Amino acid sequence: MKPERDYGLVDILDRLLNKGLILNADLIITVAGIPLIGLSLKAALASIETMLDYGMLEAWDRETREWYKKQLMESGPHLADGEVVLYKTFGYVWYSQGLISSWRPGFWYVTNGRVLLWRREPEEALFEAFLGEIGSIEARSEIDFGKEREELNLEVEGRIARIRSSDVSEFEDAIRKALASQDIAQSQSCQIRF
Amino acid sequence: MALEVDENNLKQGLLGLVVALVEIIQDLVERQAIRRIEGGRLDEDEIERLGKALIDLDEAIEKIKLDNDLEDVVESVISSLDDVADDLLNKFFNPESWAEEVEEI
Repeated sequence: MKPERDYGLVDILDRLLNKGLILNADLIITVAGIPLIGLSLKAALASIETMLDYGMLEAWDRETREWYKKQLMESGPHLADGEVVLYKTFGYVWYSQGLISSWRPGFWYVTNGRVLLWRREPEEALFEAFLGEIGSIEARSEIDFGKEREELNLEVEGRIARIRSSDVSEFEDAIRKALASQDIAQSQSCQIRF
Repeated sequence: MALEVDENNLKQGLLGLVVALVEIIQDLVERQAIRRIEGGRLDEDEIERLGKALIDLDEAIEKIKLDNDLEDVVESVISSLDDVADDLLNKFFNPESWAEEVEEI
């Protein structure tokens, strides 16, 4: 076999993966003729396509793809018709009822209809407010465990919701923009009506 | 054969080495992606997702290279590694020439 010259490292690795590599090794360590430690190695390295061609890792390949697809499907809250997500970020809402009071984590969604905190696992909307219900929005900082932290106070039908997110001012902007565009949409629909 | 990393600019040299390795892996992954797509086991959705992810990765690496002025370093590291690989392959398939080389020393 003549070597094919001018091959780069990637070409060699690619070819290696396409062909596949199998290693079988058995080893025993003996002392005074008595086997004491045994090692039995079986390893295979190949691209998944090659593995599948030989009937290896088939189930795992299928399950991985199906699992990811399922994750994609379930990774968001159910949106109404015509509802569009304008902003999404990770954050918390303050929950206080009876003895329980804590920050509950989830993903904040600002859509053209509402503000929503969505927890993926187990699925639940931890907080939901329609844009029409939102009164004042106020950003403030609280001392928490000796550290100053930004939070957003959202007035929803007379009650104050305490909100935290990775970027509070960005989140505030997103809500204000959603409110503003909703006002425009309403005034436009009024114009059409008159 | 040694890889040449510029001592005067260690940060650029080191970062260049890392980016070069990432680029080799990226190249390898791209080829395997093409093989998987041609293999016909993936559906339309998966092919599109895979393509998009690889484009994003490519853009990210290009951006890192541009931001840090790494193109030349990365290219030289990759071509050195290719030389090493080529050399190894040659020795593997032509043990005679290797023996001659040893005798010369």
